[in-house]
Amino acid sequence: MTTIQIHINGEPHTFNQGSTLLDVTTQYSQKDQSVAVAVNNDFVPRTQYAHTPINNGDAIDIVAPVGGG
Amino acid sequence: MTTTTTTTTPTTSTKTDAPKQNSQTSDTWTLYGKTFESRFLLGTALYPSPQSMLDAITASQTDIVTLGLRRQNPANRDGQIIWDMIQQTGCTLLPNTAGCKSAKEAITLAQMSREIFGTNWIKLEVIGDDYTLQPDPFALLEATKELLSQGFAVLPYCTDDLILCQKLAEAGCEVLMPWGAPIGTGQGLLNKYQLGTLRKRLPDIPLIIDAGLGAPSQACEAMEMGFDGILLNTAVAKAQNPPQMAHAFGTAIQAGRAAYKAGLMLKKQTASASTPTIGQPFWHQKK
Repeated sequence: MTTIQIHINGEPHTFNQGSTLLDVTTQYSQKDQSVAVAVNNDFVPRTQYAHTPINNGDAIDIVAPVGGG
Repeated sequence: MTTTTTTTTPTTSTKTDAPKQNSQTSDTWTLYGKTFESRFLLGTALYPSPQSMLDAITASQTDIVTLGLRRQNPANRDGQIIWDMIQQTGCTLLPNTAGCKSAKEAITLAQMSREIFGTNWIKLEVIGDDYTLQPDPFALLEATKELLSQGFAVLPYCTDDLILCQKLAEAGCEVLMPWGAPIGTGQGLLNKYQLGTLRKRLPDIPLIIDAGLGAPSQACEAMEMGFDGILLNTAVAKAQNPPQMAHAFGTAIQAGRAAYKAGLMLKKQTASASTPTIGQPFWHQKK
C-alpha cells in the first residue's frame, strides 16, 4: 500500500494513499470533541470530509474551542 | 442574561442628546438585531480554573462572552471542559479570530468558528504587530468586507483611528470595537482625545471599548464618555479574585452608563463656590 505524508497541526503523519479527510478526523479527534478543519488554509465543511481526498504534503489544521478574549 | 431577537432598528437615541433621555425607560441595546441588557462583554481565557471563569461570568451578569479556537490537542481536554461550561451559561457567543495575521487566516478561522459554535457572529481580529498586538487596519477592512458578504455579523477589533472606523461602518459593520490600550496591558484609555472624537463623529453606531482596561474606574470613564459597552478579559481573569472583580466591573459599567445618561456637568477652569455667597456672615465687617 502506497502511503502519503501529511502534517496535522504542524506534526508529520502517514496515511494510506486514497484516504479522505474523514479518515484523518476519525483517527485524530475524539468523538465528543467539537472540531473544525482546514486543509492548506482553506476551510472544509464537516459535510465534505468524506468527499475530500488528502494528498501528499497537505497541511491540515484541526481546531477546537478554547477560552478566548 | 435575557436576550431577545428583533428585526427593528435600535431605538436608542443619538449620543448627542443623551442627557435628555428619560432615565426611567429601558436601557437595553441592540447589536445585529439582538437586544441585550448588560453592556459588559467578558472573555473566557486566562482564569485560574474553569470554575473561576464560570463564577466570573455569573458575577458579571454579562450577556455576551468571547471565546476562541486553537489547534486541537487530543490529550488536553481543558478546552472542551471550558466549552461545555460556557454552553451552560446561556450567553450569546462571540468567537474571535485572535492571533490571525492576515485577512485570509481570519476569514478561514471565522468560517471554522461558524461551524463549531453555530453562530455568524465574529469578533474579527487581524494582528499587524506582534509587540503591540495592534490591529492591521488594511487587512481588517479587507477581511471585514469579505465576511460581511458571506453573511457574518462582524464585530471588528480596531484601533481608535477615525478613518478606519468610518470605513468599517461604511462597509456594513453595525458595531465597532476600538481598543482602549494594547491587549492585556491594563493601561486604560490611552488616547481619550481620539476616543472622544470617535464618539462624536460616529454618534449612531454602537462603540465598544475592547482591550487594554485594567481597572473598573477606567471602564466607568469610558461609559461616561458615551461608549456603549465594554469588552475585557485579562483585568478580570488575572485579578486575585476574578468573580469579585467581574462584579466590580459590572457595577462600574452601570455607574458610568447612568452618569452618561444623566449628563455630566461642564468642566471649568476656575473655582466656583457651591454654597451661596449671598448672606455670607462676617463679610465686609469692619474690625
